[in-house]
Amino acid sequence: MEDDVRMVVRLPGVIQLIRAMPLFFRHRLARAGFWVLAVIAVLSLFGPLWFGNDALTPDASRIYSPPSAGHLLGTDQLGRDLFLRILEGGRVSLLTGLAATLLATFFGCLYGIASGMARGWLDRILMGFLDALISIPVILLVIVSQAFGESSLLKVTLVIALASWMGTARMMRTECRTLMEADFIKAAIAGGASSIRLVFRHLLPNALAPLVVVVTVGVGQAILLESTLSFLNLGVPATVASWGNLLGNGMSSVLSGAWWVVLFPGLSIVLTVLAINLIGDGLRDTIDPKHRSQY
Amino acid sequence: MNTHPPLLSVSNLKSGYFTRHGTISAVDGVSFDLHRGHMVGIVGESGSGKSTLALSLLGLLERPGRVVEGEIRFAGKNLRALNEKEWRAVRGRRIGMIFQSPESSFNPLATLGQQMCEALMTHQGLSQASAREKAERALAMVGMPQPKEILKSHAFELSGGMCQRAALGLALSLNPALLLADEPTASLDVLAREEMIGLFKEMKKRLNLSMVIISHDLGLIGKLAERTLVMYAGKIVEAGPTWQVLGTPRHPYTRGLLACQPCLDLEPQPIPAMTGVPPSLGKQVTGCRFAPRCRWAGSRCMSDDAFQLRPVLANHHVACVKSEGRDDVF
Repeated sequence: MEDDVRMVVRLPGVIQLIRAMPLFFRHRLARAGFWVLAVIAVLSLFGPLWFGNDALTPDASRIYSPPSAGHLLGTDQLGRDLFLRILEGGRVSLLTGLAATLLATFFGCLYGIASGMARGWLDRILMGFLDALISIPVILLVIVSQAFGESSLLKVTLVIALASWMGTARMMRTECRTLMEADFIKAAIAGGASSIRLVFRHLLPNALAPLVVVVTVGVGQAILLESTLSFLNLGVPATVASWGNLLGNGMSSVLSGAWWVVLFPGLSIVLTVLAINLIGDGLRDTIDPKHRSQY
Repeated sequence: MNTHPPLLSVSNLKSGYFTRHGTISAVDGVSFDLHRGHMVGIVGESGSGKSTLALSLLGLLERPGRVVEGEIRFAGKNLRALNEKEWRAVRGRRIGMIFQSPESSFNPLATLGQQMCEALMTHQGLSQASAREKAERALAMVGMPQPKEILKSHAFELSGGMCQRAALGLALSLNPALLLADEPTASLDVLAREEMIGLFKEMKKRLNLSMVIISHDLGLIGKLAERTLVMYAGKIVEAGPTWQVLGTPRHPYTRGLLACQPCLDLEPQPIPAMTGVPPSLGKQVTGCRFAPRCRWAGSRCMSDDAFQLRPVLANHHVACVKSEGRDDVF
């Protein structure tokens, strides 16, 4: 009970996160999301090493075998084991999503903090520019990016990062503006603290809690965006397996009656994004006292 | 009197806020001197420009606020000529500041020790170990029991009074020549307030500390400051030795402020609150800015120089036409 009372007093940043952890694991949906994601992530990262690559070589003799004991999720149009393909695709999808979000977070933080600390005209220019960027549809960005070089994992990551850093920037700017009004920031400035110290000592740690929530939800969004792009053949190269690619390449298989080729990659995407969103919701609920009545 | 040049000399300081909707002159031609080892108290209602004055003194006035005119001489240097980097060397090191809400003047994420050591290490180039030792001594100096334990705790684990002591300890550990205190006791309970007053007195004696105390707590000012400045609408309306200003106030505004101090009489009486609100500082008005709220206001109060400070006694200046030449007019 005492823990709960303490949480209501808004303790920002790391302390807030650490204190929130027991609460987070008491949050049933978040706990479920955490374990689902953990299983998917561990299987994707280490599964291919564990199960070997034999079942991934095309084999004309077992094209479109339905799910069975030998091939848990069946095989695809080239006779490859779908379960292993999904694990392989998961590695790409998860890592792309994570890398894109980290990149977007880094840039968003930089931009948001700069805007939040600068007042007056610089802040107005930066925010105006951000508003203009937000109004550009993602799909337009993607199509334009097609003009630059071959499609590659790096390019997809960059495009996704480019399409998703604005939210973080906005959030960080608001957070910084609020913090800049706080007495301890004023005290630090009155004590002769430099801007760098303000950012790393005072602003970032105190904005960490909302940032973690935004980043978590952002990873889910990035995975979704990657899948969408790959599904439309605008994402990762066709030779690389990703959940969106599996889904896109499998579309014709449905006509041959091989529903599993589409169903299972689709389920992976849904399950992963759902798990991440549940974790994000859980973090928000446990970190921000305003949301705590919901569970 | 004091023959040394003053430690802090403010002359004709004007600070304003420049917004799209017009200019607000929050500090409008303030001048005062502060000698080493002395304390000056600045009193006035909210919105009278006290805090803007304090921020101007530390170069912390932020856009849309700006110091427009005047001079701030501190230890022989004109502070208004400093650039941002030079300011950082003055803030904390030469001029310390403590704030109204002690708990929130510490970063909630770091322990007091981390914050004090950081300040000592950057400003005085000390090593981690000697900074820690110095921080301990500073806390012991401001009367903290068990400084070692306190250094390990976060601000929210301490009471308001302890936080304010720690804030004072932190400010003093950097050996500033001048300390600005903006409402240092406003958020403390009466006992903690008394303790802080005692502490300020002791520090003044021990360290020959000079202080600018900004407060609307006349009791605090009365117990600490040698000189008192009363501010109204961005101007000083009465300036003089504290015992004279608070004992025999000449300006009707000072009288009003004193009248609404609650006192523990046998017969509880309603507090005669001043009517009206401080004027909006946007528009220029001729004559006395207090006249609309003053029950003694007359036609002479509308003359152009009515709001100028004029001497009534040696060292005692009042900005009221009716105070001239007479001992008690009201």
